Amino acid sequence: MNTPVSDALGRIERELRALWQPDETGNTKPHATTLNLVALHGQDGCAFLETLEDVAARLGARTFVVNVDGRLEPWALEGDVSAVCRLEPGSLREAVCAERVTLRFGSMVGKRAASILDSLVESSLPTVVFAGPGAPASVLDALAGAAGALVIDSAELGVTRAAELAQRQSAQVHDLAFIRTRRWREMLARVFDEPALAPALGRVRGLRVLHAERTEHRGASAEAELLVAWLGARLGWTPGLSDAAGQAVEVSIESQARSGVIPGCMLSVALTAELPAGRLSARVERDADGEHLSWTVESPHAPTQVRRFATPRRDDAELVERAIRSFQADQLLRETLAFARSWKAHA
Amino acid sequence: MTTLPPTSNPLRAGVLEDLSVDPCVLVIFGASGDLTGRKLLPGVYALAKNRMLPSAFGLVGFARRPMTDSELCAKMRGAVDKYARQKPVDDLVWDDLARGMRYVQGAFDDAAAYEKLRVTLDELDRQRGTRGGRTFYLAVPPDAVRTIVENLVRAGLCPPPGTGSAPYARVIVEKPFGVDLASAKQLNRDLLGLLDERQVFRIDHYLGKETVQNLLVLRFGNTIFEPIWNRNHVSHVELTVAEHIGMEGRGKFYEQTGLMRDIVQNHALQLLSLVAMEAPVAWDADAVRDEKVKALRALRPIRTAEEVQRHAVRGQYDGGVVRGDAVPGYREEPDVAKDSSVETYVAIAARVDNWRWADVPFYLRAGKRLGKRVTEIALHFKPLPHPLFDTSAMSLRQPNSLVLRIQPDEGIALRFASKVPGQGVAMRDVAMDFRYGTAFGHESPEAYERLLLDAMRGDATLFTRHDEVEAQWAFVDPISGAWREDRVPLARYPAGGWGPAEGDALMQGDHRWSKP
Repeated sequence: MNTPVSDALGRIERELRALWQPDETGNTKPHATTLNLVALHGQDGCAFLETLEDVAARLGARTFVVNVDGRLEPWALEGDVSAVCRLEPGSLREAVCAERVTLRFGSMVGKRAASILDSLVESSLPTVVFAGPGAPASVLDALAGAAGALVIDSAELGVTRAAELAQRQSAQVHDLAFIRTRRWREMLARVFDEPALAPALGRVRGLRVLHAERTEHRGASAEAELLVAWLGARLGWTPGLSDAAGQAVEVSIESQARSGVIPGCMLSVALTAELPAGRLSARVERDADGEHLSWTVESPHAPTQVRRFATPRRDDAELVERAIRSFQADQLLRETLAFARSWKAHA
Repeated sequence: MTTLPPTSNPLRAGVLEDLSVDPCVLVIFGASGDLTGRKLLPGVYALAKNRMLPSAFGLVGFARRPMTDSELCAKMRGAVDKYARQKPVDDLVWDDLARGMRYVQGAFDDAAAYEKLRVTLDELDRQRGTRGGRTFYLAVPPDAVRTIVENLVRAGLCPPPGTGSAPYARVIVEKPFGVDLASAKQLNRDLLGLLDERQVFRIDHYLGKETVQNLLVLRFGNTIFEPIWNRNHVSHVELTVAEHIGMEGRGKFYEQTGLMRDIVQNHALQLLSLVAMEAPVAWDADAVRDEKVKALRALRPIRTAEEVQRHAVRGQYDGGVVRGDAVPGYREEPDVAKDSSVETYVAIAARVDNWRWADVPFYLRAGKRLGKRVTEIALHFKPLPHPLFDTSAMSLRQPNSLVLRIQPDEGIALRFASKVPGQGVAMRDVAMDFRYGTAFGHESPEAYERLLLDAMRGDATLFTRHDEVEAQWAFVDPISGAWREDRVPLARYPAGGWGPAEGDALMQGDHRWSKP
């Protein structure tokens, strides 16, 4: 006897097969699928769905939009199948289409998400799981176990949970919050390109990170925490935040209300370190326009240096696309999350 | 002030992987020229837009024309507005690029101008943190190359790798690389007397095209193609580089150059070498280029006038109709002699004399004012040994071919026979079609973007080495020589067609040019 789940699954499979059948005029839609993209989100996923829309269009993915809906019967599975088409620029002609499957699970069905998805993915293609805000933990764990790559955002999950996922899953993990800190990391790295300043790397004494306020969210300071953890991992700090020589590093993470900046985003990083000839002070700060970073270095070895660089506008769809396309494990992220995990456990 | 190489800074690990390029200044000689505005600056902008450039990046234009920094920026902004792949231009990205843009005015042989350049570069190092990385792009006529490199070396701007304070200094040289074998050899001697081969990047923009790179992945990244990629299975190889445009104001240039030097000597032979080469021992510049050189050296020479007549055809277009428009013949084009014998079409039946390709003809054809703009490589496989089905149609006797489309619509098609649904066993040839644009859902980067990036990264895999260039000239020189001496007639063809009938006659047996 068929269950409601297998009935619904059978219908979705039939609809998927029928999607590329010729229409009454004998035409078929041009279609291409390069990967399976499973997007998991909670109830309030509007911004997430917009990002997903963009990502799916750029990648030509068979996309599954999955959520657990508490309003459904526990054993209910609802699903819609559609073709999402990109139009040729400047025309109404369909350039290429890809499948979109929307799945809503009842609370019990969520536990079988991996098995359901297994029947629907294009098995010859890689599967990427993209975790959105409010993604149910148990479903995410189940799906991530079967995925080749996992795209998460510590700013949504919190760094502790991200570290846990990175440690447990064999999938390649990409963290959007960590990717967003790239420009800041590069700015800090360039301070120490100067040979005279390189010895200060082993004598960092203080680090102050300021981010835009985000109230009552577990991922509020994720970017700031990841930046600290990255420095700690690269410079061999202990989880108690001492350097290799056992000297303490004063670390503070603070928030500030700032209009025009996405809550949680980094506002400034100030680093102090000791040099034999005196003190090194480096500061990277987001300008008031929100679109530039100012980089200032004061040291006993040269006059104060100040530079200003553009920082790209935040585009989550682009970050996700880049993460998925890289198809490479991010070892730096794993090291950073591992440090973050032991640092937070110590704290 | 000296700077650390990036790798010795532990905070650089992983950070530069994303940015791809070490901090550097790109210096463009010939900055006021057409190539800079049409290709180079739009390429640099696209790299910046797609975050492939480091924040520590500067750009210096060098040319004879008097211009200020801000005039250069304004001129380049105009060019990027017009030619950028991604429009509209992002002001934030552009402003950041423009802040690192400088102009140095001077003649290519003026030592004082190179001193000004040195000062400007040092200043950029301080202001932008470019840390001494230098890439010099010579978008200049071939006769200016030696002078510029001599002056760069004299000014201490191009130290050999491993010496001096600069982390790296590289020189990109535009085609044409010489005008014949002798001049190419001389230019190589000149350059390699001043620079290390690892510093010289000879650009052939065809190698930056996505499908050309994919040719290597297709062959050496899959298991199913390589076993049949040889004389046992391939009947013949066709290589077409066709353009529908005529001279477009380049009549004077063409009168001196001709299609053999403009397209065949470089683009077409590069494509041939990629099809014919053996697997490299590693994916690095020298290993790949070693194999390409071997393939080029295996080309059977076409030396005597009789051989040229038998294996090569040159043609010139007459008036005709192209894409619905009546167009003039070559001799009616501006700046072209009324009795010109310059070739606008070349077809060659080449042979690659090695174990893999013995007896397999490689048919090359390239031309101006042909039916459409298309570059493609087609491998035609051998006919069925014994037909079971009705194969009266020619295409069904020899049903399999693999077509690699380089431009436009970059992609790959595999043609094979299939049963027509219904009663009986009727057959039809069908194609499995892969298109880059649809499969990957986004535009491929322009060839110049990729090549600029590779040069700045120091990856020479997609650039031609001195011995490749010389092997290419060694193959085409005797053919051009016979044509120059008018020992072989010039065939004529109507614009808008697929070349002269003589080109068809080159094909042996039942081989035919396919219609792209």
